[in-house]
Amino acid sequence: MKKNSFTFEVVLAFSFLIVSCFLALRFGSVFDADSSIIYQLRLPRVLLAVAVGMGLSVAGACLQALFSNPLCEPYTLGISSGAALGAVIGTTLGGFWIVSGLTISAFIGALAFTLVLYFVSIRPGNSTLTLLLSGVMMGFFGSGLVALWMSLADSNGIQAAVFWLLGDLSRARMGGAWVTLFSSCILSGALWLRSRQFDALLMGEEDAISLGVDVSVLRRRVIIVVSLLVSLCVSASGMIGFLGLLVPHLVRRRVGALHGKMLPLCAVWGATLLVIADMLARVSVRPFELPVGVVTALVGAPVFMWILLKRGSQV
Amino acid sequence: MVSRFSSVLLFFYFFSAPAFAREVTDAVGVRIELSEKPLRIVTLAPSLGELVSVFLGADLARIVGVSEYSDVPLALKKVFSIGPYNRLNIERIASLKPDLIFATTDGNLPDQIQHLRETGMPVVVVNTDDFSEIGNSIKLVGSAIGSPAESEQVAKQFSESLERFRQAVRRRRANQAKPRVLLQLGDDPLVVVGSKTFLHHAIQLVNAENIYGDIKDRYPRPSKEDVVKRDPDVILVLALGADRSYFETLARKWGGLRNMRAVQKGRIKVLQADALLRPTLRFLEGASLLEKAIYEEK
Repeated sequence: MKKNSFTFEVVLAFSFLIVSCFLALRFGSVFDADSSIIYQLRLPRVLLAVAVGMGLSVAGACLQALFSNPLCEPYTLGISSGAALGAVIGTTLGGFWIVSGLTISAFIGALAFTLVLYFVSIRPGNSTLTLLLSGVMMGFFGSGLVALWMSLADSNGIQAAVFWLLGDLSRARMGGAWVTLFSSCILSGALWLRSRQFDALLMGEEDAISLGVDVSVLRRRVIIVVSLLVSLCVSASGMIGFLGLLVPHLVRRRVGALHGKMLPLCAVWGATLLVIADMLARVSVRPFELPVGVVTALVGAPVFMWILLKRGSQV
Repeated sequence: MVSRFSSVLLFFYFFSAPAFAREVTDAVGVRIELSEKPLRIVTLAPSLGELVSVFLGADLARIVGVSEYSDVPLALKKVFSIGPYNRLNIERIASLKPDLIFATTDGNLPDQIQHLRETGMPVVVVNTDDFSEIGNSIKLVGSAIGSPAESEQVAKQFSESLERFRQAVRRRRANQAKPRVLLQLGDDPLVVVGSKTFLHHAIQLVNAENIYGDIKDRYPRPSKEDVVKRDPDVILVLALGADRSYFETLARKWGGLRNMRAVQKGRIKVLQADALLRPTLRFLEGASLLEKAIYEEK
């Protein structure tokens, strides 16, 4: 398959991002928004959507490479379940856990789960598959705890938690959005610096080792960085599904599987798609607002299927 | 010298005269600066829309935004909607440029209230967890709107009618055993009434006992088995709106549990609770319906 030139792809992606940001600032829950609404309410949301869309897509792409598994997504390792647990406990106990729109308890929960994963990853002799399966198991365990907490907690707090679990950018504040955007850029950049090693992993773990890649060290470091990235995104916006799975596949079809080119484009396309999805969430059912996770799943899944069936062949 | 002094005074008079004329402290202890007569009021729960309307009378145009399902008085149905109480649309609220927003601790999410405050909007939060809080909420709403004298009067009217009703119930039910009551709010999961809500106090008001009065949440969700074990004398399914058929189905669902006292005596009913569920003046109407339903009067 002939690939377009990388420069063209970058220009295309950035133009889409700019146009979608402009549209997202222009359209919302009301028609005639003045500058204070755009600046105080819409801009933080757009910035947060950029940050989270970028983070989730890059995290998804890296995990797919690390585990050589096209089904991996940011939530595969169960870190998000730790975040969900923290968020559900935090939101039902009261609003004090949310600082500038970032759910601190979710971040703590995610870090706790990351720590367990890290210990699994440094144990000598544990294969990548062990790590992957441990992550999946932790995910189930975390979801179990979330369900347990939710069936015991008071109904009032649960409503907040349910919206959180569906993925939601409406909590965005300026401060929190900038922090998320800044950290998301740095962590994504850190992952991008490992592009060559990810490329080596594409040939299989043993070939990568023979090419001089210390797979266990790489695994450990990537787990830490990706976990931080996912914790950050999830604590800012809840569980926005599908994006981290979809975007890497779309981008791979456009520029191929080499990570040096693919990761930056994942970042830009992920940001673009989430900005658009959030805009749809705001304008589609006024005066109600859809959780953005609903939009990404409802629009993303059919689009993904269509692309798969149209192009056929390899994923 | 004197003239200089007075000009300084004049200066202070004109330039330090506060843009906001007064301050109120709401139910969560936050002080909010308000204009003398707020003209762009937004209410974030149906009960608040109703209560504010009581004070505004014919001046209802001062309410510029209401939450979904605000239908008392009927005119509120036509007012700009800012979304459901548990998921407010902050952008729509901001677009109204409100000079007074009413929120409640029973339903609105604390982070959304915080978000509104951070964007500089004046939010007054009320609490309606028990009768004295309902009285306070009436006073708070009235004084925030700018009619403190009237609100004192309405609050007094509320507490006096409440007391009269309490005495009347006591006289009527002096020789009757306290029925043990389950108020059912939802099904699957079953949602009932705990002690942290005014509905619990409503049950006590009509000389009955809430079988979940020992649980300190607002709306706990016990299992049906636990209800069977607690074995209430009366089960009341609270119905909202014109269509009762759904609630009748919920009431019939208990029918299979033949060991329960309420089933044996056929004391499972649907109670039209639109008035009861509003912590406003209409509440007493609802409370007397509650009493009739519990004691099976026609």
